[in-house]
Amino acid sequence: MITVENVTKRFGGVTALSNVSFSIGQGCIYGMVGSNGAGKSTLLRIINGVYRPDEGTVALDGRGVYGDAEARSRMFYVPDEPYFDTGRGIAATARTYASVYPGFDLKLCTRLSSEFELDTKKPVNTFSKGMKRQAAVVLAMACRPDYYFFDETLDGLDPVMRGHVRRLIASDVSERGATAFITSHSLRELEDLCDQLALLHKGGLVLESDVSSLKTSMFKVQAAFPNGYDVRSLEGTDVVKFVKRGSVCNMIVKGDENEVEARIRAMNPLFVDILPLNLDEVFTYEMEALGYVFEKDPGGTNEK
Amino acid sequence: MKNKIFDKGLYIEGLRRTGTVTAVFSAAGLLSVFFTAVLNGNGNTGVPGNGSAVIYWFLYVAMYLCTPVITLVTFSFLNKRGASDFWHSIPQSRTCLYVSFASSALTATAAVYAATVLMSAAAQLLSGKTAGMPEMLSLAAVCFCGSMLICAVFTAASSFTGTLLSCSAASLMMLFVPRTVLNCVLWIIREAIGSAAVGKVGFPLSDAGYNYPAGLILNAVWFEESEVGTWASAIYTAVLALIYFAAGLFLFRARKSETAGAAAPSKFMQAFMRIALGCSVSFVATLYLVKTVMTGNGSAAASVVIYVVAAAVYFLYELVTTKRASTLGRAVPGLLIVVALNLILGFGAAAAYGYEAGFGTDPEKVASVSVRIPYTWYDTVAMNDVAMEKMSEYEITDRSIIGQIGKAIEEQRGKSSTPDGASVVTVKTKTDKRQRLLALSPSLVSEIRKYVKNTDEYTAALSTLPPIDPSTDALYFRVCNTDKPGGTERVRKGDLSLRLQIGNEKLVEIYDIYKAETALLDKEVYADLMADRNCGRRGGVFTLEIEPSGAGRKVKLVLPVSADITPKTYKELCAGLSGDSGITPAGLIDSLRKAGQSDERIDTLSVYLLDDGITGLFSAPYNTGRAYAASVADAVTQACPGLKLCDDGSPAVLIVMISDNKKTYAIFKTNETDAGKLTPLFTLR
Repeated sequence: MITVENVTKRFGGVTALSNVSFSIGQGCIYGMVGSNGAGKSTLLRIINGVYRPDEGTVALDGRGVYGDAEARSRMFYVPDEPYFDTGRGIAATARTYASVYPGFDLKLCTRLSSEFELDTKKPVNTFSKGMKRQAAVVLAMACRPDYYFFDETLDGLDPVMRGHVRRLIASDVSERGATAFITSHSLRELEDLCDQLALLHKGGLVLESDVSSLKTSMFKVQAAFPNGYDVRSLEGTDVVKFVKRGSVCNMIVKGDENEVEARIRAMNPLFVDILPLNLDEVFTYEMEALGYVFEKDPGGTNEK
Repeated sequence: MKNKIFDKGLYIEGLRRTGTVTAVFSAAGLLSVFFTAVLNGNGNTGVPGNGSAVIYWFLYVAMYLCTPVITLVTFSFLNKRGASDFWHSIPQSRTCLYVSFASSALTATAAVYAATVLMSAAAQLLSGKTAGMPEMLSLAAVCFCGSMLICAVFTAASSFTGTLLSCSAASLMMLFVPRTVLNCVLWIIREAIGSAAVGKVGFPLSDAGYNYPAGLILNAVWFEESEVGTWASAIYTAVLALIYFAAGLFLFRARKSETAGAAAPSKFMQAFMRIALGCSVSFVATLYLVKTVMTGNGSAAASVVIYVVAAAVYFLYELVTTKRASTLGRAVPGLLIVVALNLILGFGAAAAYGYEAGFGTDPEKVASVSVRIPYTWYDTVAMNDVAMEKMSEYEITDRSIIGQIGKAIEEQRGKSSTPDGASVVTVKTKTDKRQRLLALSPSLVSEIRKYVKNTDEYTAALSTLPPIDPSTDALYFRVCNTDKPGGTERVRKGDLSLRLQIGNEKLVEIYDIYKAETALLDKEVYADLMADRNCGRRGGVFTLEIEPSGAGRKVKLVLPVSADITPKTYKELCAGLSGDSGITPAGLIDSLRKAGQSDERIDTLSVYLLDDGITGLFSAPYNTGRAYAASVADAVTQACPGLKLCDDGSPAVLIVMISDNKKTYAIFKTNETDAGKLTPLFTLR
């Protein structure tokens, strides 16, 4: 188990991470989404012992990761821009990895390279961005770590390769009991792959939940009232967003679905619909609630 | 996986990273040495003292160019964010990564040296011209120590910088600035006290030459004789390298991966680097200004120009490393620190100047002086020279001498050249001491000698002949053949005064007899004998190599043996020589005759009359000796019909024949004391 406790990291005057705490159990796929600059990459580097946190600790099964080679031997980190030495192909890079990672499986590396149709002798630096990520995934898999950390790795892959990588990760997790930590901008990439999801915003962890709870934690309500609607009528309910178009009210609400529906029906609406949200929408509304909005709805009125 | 300090896999990875660079440099070394050998047509790639020998130049290239390039390539991952993150995330400790990669860099550098030196050695062996090989190997070893230091400095610098530029700037500063500043300080002090050598000023190890890579360049600028290139400097350089490696390890362990790509890991370090760079240049200006003000020689305008350059370098570094003009304003306050440091250095140097220049000039403050009067002969000394040398540490408290020396220091202050035959004077106060090289007047030298000779310590030193350890010391007995001390004939015809090795054990026995015999001599006779370094006035001399000053300089001590003053020793030597030869008079005469009639090569044939004041009789060097051999045999037989082996201290004849590197010699007693009887031998010339 990886335990992140009260981690804070600053770069000069900028706080990249602030008091972040969570834990990742073994054998799960943990997804983390966040806007650009939220601190995802910094967090991954801290977890992998690349950066030392200014405050807080990261431990793998109780052992501090920073400066502990033994702990790091069980982890592999694929950064958003994988590093490859100039002029060296996958085969040559594999030799480096084999000298560094004790469990490196050269045969697996060869097999996976073949599956991805990657030329192992061609310098990786000449690969396209997507192919570089494929190469990074191949090398990561061949290292056979207990914990994988993929920093937006899926984001740069085409749908076919993305599916293949997802299958590889899922099978390694189920077969070997490995753990995968994946960050992404796109919740859709993660929602049907991850067991747990977390949302990082401006260096803080604002949301962490298992996927099924997350999907049911927020829903959309559409209703129309004969005598208009006063938002104060729903006081005590967490209305994340309220937009009124004509006589129809659209609300994004957090809370117990049945309880909210009962309260609305008690107001004698002309009609009321309770609609589920997909994870992307949950993410978007959560971010909006935190003030992360690029564009306000030009047609909306009475926005909360 | 344990937290190791060295990992073979990482080490090999480090070698892989530098493979191309190492191969290019090795090939360059191999090809340049090879083609030089071919072009010369004689395989000659390393002649000692020949600065144009390509191997020498390539060793310097290996040290100054190849080593930093290899080190920078090995640790280049610290300058790229992605690479830095990768190598910081691997399951190895920072210590292991640092030690393994630093070892790789050193190994790759060693490979370049090995390729070049082996190629050169092969060329020399094939050509049969191996005279320069020991010197080449020695230089390669010293240069490699320099490479170790350069590698360590660049490694340490890469541990706290994040770009190629800042790393290189920091490395060069670490390598050169401390020694440059120190040399500048010593230089102005030397200017102040004039004739004293830089090496004699300052504290132990302050000689720039100890730091080989820095000293080599600084010495070229200052034209100073120093320790540069000696084994002492090699050892110092290697030890300094280890210290830098250790410092680099400490910094590397504390290094933040996020430093990669940034000139420095923090604003503080950025300012530190900028200030260090500014100081590096401005210190030169300050020291030059101090020298100009204190000595009146030099130009203050030159210092102003250097100050402007320093300011330009200061701001340029900030601009280049941050790539933002907006940070220049932030750098201004740091300039005040540079100014403050310059003021501290300037006043400090001026104070040191004043202290050094005035040291020893006030007789009231001087407790004692010691004077080492130089030998008047370069490498051959008599026992009284040795005794005087031993007395060079003797503390003279005579106020007249102290006053005259103080005056000499004052008079010779600021004189730029060291006079020939200068004495090393150690001036002691109650709390401090300094050495000065001073030209003392003959009357003062005479006064000092007289003062010293009247001491019990001198008498004891003169009467204590050096002990001999037959297993390590070289002791010779030399037969003298001429009464022309220092005459060109004797010097040029070296064969005329041969060293005869009786055999170590026997010679040591005779030396002990000599010591016992001289101990019984009258004081004046003894003093006269021990003041004689002229071989020709005696029957022969003991010669032994000693180090009278203990400074590594060996000289030949001459101890005269005389038939009349030390007859017992003389007799023992004659007996020892004859006995050792193992031949009879008839045998030698026969062998001379045979040699004269055969084709046997005779390298040297010499005949001497052993007596005070009697010169050598005959010498026929090289193969001309053969033509005369039979004649010599006849002449000796005719002139000295009663020849028999020498058994007392009376006049005798020594015949030496060297053929095929075998020496045959014997001493014969003549039955004639009249040298005229041997005249026919001269007619053979």
